Amino acid sequence: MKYYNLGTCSKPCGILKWRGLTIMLDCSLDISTVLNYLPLPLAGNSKFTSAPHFQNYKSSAEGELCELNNVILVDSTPLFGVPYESSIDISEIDVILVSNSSSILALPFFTENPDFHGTVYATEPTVNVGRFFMEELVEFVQAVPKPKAAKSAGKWENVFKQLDPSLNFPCKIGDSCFNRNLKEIYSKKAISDALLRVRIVGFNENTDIFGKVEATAVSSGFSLGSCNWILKSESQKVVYVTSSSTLTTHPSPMEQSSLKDANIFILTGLTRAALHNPDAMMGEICMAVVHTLRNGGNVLFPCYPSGIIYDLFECLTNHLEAHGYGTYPFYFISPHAETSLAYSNILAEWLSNNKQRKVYLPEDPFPHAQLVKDGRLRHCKALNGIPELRQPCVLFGGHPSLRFGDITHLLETWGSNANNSIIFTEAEFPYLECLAPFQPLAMKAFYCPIDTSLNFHQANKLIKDLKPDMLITHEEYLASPRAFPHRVDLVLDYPAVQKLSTGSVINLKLKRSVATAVMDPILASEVEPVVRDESGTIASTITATLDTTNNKYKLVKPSMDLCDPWKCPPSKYAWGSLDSSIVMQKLLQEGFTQAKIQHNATGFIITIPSDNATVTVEPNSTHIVCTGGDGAARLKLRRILISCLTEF
Amino acid sequence: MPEIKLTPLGAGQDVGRSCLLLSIGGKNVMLDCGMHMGFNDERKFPDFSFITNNMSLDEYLDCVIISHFHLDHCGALPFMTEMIGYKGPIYMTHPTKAICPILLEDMRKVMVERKGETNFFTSQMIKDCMKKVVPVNLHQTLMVDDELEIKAYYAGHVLGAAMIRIRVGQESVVYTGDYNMTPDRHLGAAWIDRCRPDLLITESTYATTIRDSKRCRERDFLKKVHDCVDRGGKVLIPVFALGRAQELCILLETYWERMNLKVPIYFAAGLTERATNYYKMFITWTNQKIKKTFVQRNMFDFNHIKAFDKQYIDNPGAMVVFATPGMLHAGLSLQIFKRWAPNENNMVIMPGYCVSGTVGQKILSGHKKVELETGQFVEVKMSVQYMSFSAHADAKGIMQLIHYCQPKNVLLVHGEGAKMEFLKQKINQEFKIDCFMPANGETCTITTKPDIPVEISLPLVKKEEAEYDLQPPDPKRQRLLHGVMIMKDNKLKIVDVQSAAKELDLPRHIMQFTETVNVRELGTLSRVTDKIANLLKARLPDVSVELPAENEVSVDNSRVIVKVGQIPKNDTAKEVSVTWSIDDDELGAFVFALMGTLSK
Repeated sequence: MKYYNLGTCSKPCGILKWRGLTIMLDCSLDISTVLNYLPLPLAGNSKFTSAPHFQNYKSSAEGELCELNNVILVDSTPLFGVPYESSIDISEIDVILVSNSSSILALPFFTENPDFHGTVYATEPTVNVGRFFMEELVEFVQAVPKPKAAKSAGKWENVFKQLDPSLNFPCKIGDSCFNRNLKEIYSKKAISDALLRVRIVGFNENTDIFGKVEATAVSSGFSLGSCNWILKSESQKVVYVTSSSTLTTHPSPMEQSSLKDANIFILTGLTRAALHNPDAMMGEICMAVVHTLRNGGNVLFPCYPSGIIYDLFECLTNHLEAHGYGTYPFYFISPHAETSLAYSNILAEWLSNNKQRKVYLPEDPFPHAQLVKDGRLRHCKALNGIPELRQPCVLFGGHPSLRFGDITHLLETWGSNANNSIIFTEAEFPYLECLAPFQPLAMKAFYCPIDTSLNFHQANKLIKDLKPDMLITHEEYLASPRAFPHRVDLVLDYPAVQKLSTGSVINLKLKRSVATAVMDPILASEVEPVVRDESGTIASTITATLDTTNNKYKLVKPSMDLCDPWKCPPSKYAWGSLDSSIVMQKLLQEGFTQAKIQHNATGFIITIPSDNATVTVEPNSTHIVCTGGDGAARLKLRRILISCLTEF
Repeated sequence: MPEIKLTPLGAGQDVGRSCLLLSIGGKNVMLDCGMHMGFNDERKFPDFSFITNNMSLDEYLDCVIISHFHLDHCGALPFMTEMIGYKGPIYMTHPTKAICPILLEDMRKVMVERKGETNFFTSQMIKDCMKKVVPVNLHQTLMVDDELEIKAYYAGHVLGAAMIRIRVGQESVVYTGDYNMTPDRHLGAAWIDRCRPDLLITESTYATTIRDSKRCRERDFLKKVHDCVDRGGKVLIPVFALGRAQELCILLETYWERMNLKVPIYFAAGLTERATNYYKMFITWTNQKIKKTFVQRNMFDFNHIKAFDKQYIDNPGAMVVFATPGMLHAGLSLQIFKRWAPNENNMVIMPGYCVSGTVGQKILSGHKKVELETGQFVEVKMSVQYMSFSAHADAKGIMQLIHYCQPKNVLLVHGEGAKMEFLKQKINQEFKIDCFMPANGETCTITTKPDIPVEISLPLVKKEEAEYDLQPPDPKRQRLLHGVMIMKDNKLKIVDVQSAAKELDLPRHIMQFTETVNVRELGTLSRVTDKIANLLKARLPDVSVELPAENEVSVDNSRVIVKVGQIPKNDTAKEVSVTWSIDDDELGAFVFALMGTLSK
């Protein structure tokens, strides 16, 4: 078994080669590359339409590099980091298992490759919410067309790719070689084509993969329909855990018991905000919002169109209501705002028990349905769709990287007012880097990341409870973070561990000694078993036809006429040792009256002069030598001797 | 041979009161727990004494599975769990769990408040009963215990209806509940994978019917309604609150919209709005089209359909009223029927099956005078129409399902005996499999021949695979596996012969034979050896014959060795000895017999 790590700890992607299958686990897209780009402005009067060029680099690239606040930014169509492994051919991939809606984003890059013939498995909410995420990304990027890329040396080559990190260039090129493979975003058609490849699975639905492995998605408690994967062969179990949450939020709770007894336990996607407690952050957010509204300012939440925002809507409106700010409007701006709100309310099966109980009443599981009905929460496809933006207000919009989407415009218009606030709740991007091109800003920025994924404490407890034979996880999780070398609590601690680094390959030995099969009842009925001992052990020689349809072994009755007559294996064997007195007695009974026995060191020799036969007996073998006969004596001797042995 | 046993406590050659007891692999499962609408005495509930005579329900049953929320499938559940006593798990889908208690409560009210039933379960009992319910998702593999596994499939009959596969070890049973093989306006079609169960228990409500196309029936229905309201008549459509009602509402709503009709449509108040709310919540259980468009236009938001008030009964002019319950056996629909029946302008459309004993069944069979309560008769002058909208599979659909899942046996329930007989013959003919149709209380035993799980030692398989891969592909070649099967601690394992000796602590005893004959042959040893070799080659064309020494012939890699020796003081004869092991007895005996032919 081999495991190729193509991702990073927060952007998981791995390939498992096991039992002849190539299984891709998750398909994340590295979006952090866009932080190196100039924000895509919506309005013509944006400062980004006329950003000053950066001139101290290759002249061919000058037109595409801008300098703002001492930060160099690329001014062209943004590129994204796609997982890549040179030693894996895309046509080899048999299945892609997707865990949640954020780790599906690179899927179209694989499925649009004509060599890809695999099947994708994901839950229904993962597919639907993943669709919002992907389409929103594409719509944001395509809303502001940029010149494709610069021509350098006659080749179309995005300047971003040429920026060599070794040049000590002031531009950050992602965190690692994850984004060696940089690509422009896919088309909308590629998204729908990709999602057509998906086979929908439910939680705890066992899916057979080519008869070799059974894959099961179990709830991971992180987002709607998010799951961990259990891969089982006949005797072994591989568990893949990513972005899991033991906290109680809106999705159905994490399923833990079925993750037990794993031979291999792959753990990735721990919290990206290990130092920030989600509950405390929610409290801070509520306070910050109240504070801003009290001062007459607007609150801006950079967000994705699904996920933690449902909890934000619920908590914030309750909190504001309780503090007398119940009249301030909430705006949710996203091309998929309406769908996301409506869709979340029809997913009873995928929700926490509390929310599920509401459905039985029947009431909408999420309060945002009522908020929309009451006009508290307004949703809009885009900024210009709002007839009249009542201020002060609380506004949710994307994209959290602040590089595209309606939010770039709002930041420019609201940024100069010190009463306004921007609250970062996504831990995916470093917020200061997000804000850098917009500086100077007067508005207050709050960094309150809510990442409900397992923290180190929870993860350590989980693996201690589940006791896998071998834990595989990222090297980053196995040492204190670079920024906090003294924090030994931010480390995974488990004795049997193998570490992953980006691009690494792990070789694992999974031993098995038996293959499982089933036996046809007709064959079974013809077996003549012999009871061996008091404990009831039964033994029998068996010859069967091995049927391997669907990669499952089945033993059926062989048709002997198809068998080479001289190569048919014997139907029975003789076992044990011969006892000389019993043998002699039987020989006498059967008429070999002249038989004479002569003992030697290990066995005995019987001579039968009347039949010209000699029988040499050793503990585990017998040699019958007959001379000049027609074989009758041999057959008779054989029968007698076998009757003195065990035969089956 | 293992057996699967099935006893219908209800729905055996009958419609209504579905309740089946299944015994499979030592587990006892109750499938559905319904009540009979046509009876008011103790026959309305299944006869649990079948079980309780011997032991308590908890002792006997491993679990109860409810296929969908219709009362003839779940109506007796609180009676069973709370009044007779059952604490074990009950499984149903999410929508069923949501809707079931509402229908139970509704029925309870009718029974207790209108009919004055005294010994009936209470509201609290319904709640307590529902607490024991574990919701299942479609396709989820749920382990009831270590051995009993259940899995639900989409059945399409009503919102949340499921077909259930029950598996213990290698044996499995599929119970369909009620299902529909054609998608309708709000639900999709039933689907199951090719799971090859030992037994398929299927409903057979429409065992002999092959219905015309859905579209025709819809057109027919709309025309009848339209004609009636055109001449100022009132149309009564008795329905159950959930299910067909929503489909017909969608149908009428779109028709009214298209034809721009102004005649009011009413839906019996109370349940309706809540009921359609369930459809909104569980929209993932409806069909593709509704799922896709629900954000823009929710099919269950009706513009033309208003809530009904009892005062409207005597309003003049045309109207269309949906009223519950569907079989005209009680409640509002019966009340309206009583008032409207004497007018020949009016019409009642029965959109579904009516069990015997109900008013609905009586008027459908042509009764012109119906006794509603003791001594109270009503004359039926209104036109009575029957439109089969109930979402059951017809004969074609049942055959289709059998074709899908490829069962080894079929058992028919939830249908009329005579019709079952017909379908049974058809199944026998078409699929050549056994078909059963037990009556209530009659136990049906099906002998299964399950495959037996066995482990094969990996080296043995690998060796076979390696040999197989070396040979040129030949579809006719069978892959032979040879070894010793050992059963220890109830586990079967096949190992190669050498390992078997170790495992059993019993060495093999190898027997060898040497037969020597004198043959009349002149010349040198090598000449005789060549002659023997040539003879063997000719007679054994598929076996390798080699000459490792001048006086020795090896047959098939030394399985049989022929040695030629001089006989002292004899030039005209040679001594030929043939040696082989007991494993190669056939080949050895054959070679020896050939040598015998030389000597003559």
